[in-house]
Amino acid sequence: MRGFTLWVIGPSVSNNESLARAVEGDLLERGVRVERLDAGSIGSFVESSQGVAFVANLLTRNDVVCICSTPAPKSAERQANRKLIGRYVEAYAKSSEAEGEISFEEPDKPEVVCDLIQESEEESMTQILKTLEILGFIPPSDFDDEYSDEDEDKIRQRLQDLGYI
Amino acid sequence: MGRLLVIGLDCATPQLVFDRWKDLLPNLTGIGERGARARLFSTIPPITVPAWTAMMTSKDPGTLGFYGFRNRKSYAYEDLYYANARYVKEKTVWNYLSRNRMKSLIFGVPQTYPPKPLNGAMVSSFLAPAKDAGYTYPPDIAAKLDEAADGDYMIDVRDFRTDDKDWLLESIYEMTEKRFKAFKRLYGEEEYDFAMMVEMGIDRIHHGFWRYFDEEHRLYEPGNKYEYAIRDYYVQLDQWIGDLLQILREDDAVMVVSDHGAKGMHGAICINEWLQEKGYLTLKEQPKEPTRLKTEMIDFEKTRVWGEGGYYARIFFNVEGREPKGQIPKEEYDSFRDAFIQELEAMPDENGNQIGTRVFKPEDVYRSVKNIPPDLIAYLGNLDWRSAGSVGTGTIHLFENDTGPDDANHAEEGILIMEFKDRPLKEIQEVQSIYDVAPTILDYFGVQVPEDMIGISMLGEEKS
Repeated sequence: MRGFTLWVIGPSVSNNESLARAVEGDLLERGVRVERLDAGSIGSFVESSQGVAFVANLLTRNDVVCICSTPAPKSAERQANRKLIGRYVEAYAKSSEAEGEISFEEPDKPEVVCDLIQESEEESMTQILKTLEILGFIPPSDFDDEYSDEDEDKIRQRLQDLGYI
Repeated sequence: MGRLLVIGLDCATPQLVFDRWKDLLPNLTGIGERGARARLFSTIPPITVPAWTAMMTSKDPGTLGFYGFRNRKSYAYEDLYYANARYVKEKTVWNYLSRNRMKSLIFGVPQTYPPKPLNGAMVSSFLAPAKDAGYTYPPDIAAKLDEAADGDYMIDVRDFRTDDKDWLLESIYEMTEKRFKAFKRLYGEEEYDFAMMVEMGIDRIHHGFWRYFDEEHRLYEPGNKYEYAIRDYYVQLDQWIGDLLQILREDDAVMVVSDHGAKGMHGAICINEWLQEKGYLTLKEQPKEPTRLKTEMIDFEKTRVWGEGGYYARIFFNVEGREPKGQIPKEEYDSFRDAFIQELEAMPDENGNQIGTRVFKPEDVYRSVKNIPPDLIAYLGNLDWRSAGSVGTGTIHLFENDTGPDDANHAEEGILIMEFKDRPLKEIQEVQSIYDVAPTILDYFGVQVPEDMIGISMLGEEKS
């Protein structure tokens, strides 16, 4: 699988981080090589979003999936990050005004918008994962795996032979 | 902390492993003596599906939402599905380990077809329709399996219902040997924190050869050609396990588990013949020879109950407003069911003796009841008898199984043998629960045991 960077942006850094963690967990479960860069990890060493993008780009080009949730509040810096990384997906996590922690410029064209005011974190996570699947960044998880009629006959016969049914 | 290897032996049974052949099985006995052993109480019902998945999720069949291999999709009469991995919605041990960046090798664990991606590798089991069906993750390891298994890895024995016992015995040995070879190859190639293989050979040999060694079995003949077939297979299996243990490192932990045990089978009870005799079931036409019951043969306008065959009986009610041609008024469901249970539990053997049938209501034995369970689950003669679904047999008690020779039934208790080098065990009871396995595995790897798991970890505090 090729690498890409998912950057979760929005006015509430803690909401962004929490959503990024949820997406990371699901990708790990699918066996994806993934690293998460947030304020608590890389944020302690690198202050600017440009610095985080530099590291994300290194990971991405080595086919590691990178999930960033460090603040990237300015539209211009996000555009620069997108240009640098190339395989870049932006998830905009809308939070309520009360949850806003930073001054934030709304994005123009994020790949996915998650409305954390209206929907649960799990719904937002699913929406992000579906978007990644649709855009071809990750393989689909809902594969068509009902037995065909012919396979079902084989299974029925085998289970009957074995005495299970 | 070392790695953890779980060896699953489908149907391995405590009275043989812990008692009768204990001294002939130095590797299994040795693990138990250095560590601990217990009988392992299975799920209701004690059947491969759902038992292995219950073990790997610590969730009961009701919570998992499947009650056997074949389940009802809706209340239509013939709307059934086979519970493969697609229907497993609860998280397994390897899901949690993957989330925690630990690598697993999952090999032959039932109900893992179609294989889902994970951090590691997966070889699915005998619910794969065929080897060309994409039964591994990643797909390219399938070639390695064949290569390691003398050119042809076997998912299961071929033609289990054969009367050619020499051939069947050979096939069981061939399968097991090839699967151990293939597992060793994969396990040796990469560093897996957690590895689990499940071998089906014991289940197959029990069902095929039990009558030849069990002195209590109706068909046992002293001095017969296959008197030692099962014993010799256990001895060989113990040696293959010994070979596998050789590649473990000093601090690696090992568990040997089975999903259920085995016992001799007295015979089969033709549940649908009994239901006809009692007036619960009416067929459109009575077959002249033994025929597997299909729902299209049933006159549902004159039927209140029908049943399915298997190692236990599944009983379905035809309920008004629920089934298309329901006959039992909804408001009478509870009283009808209670009266029916009494009648079924009182069903005698061919000589009129009580057989101790036990009948379970799903809502009484599961934490929650998802999807569509059978109305009742019955252990006929407490699993001394299997359930035969056939009609037209002309008898209720059948001594040749309707699906061919079968000498053994499943028993509720399997085995648990384990040795954790750098973790002490809590006090191990004589009988532990199948639900305790997953929490123990997660605890070993330092992963917090989710609160909704039914079982508890058997490990004590970490040594400081």
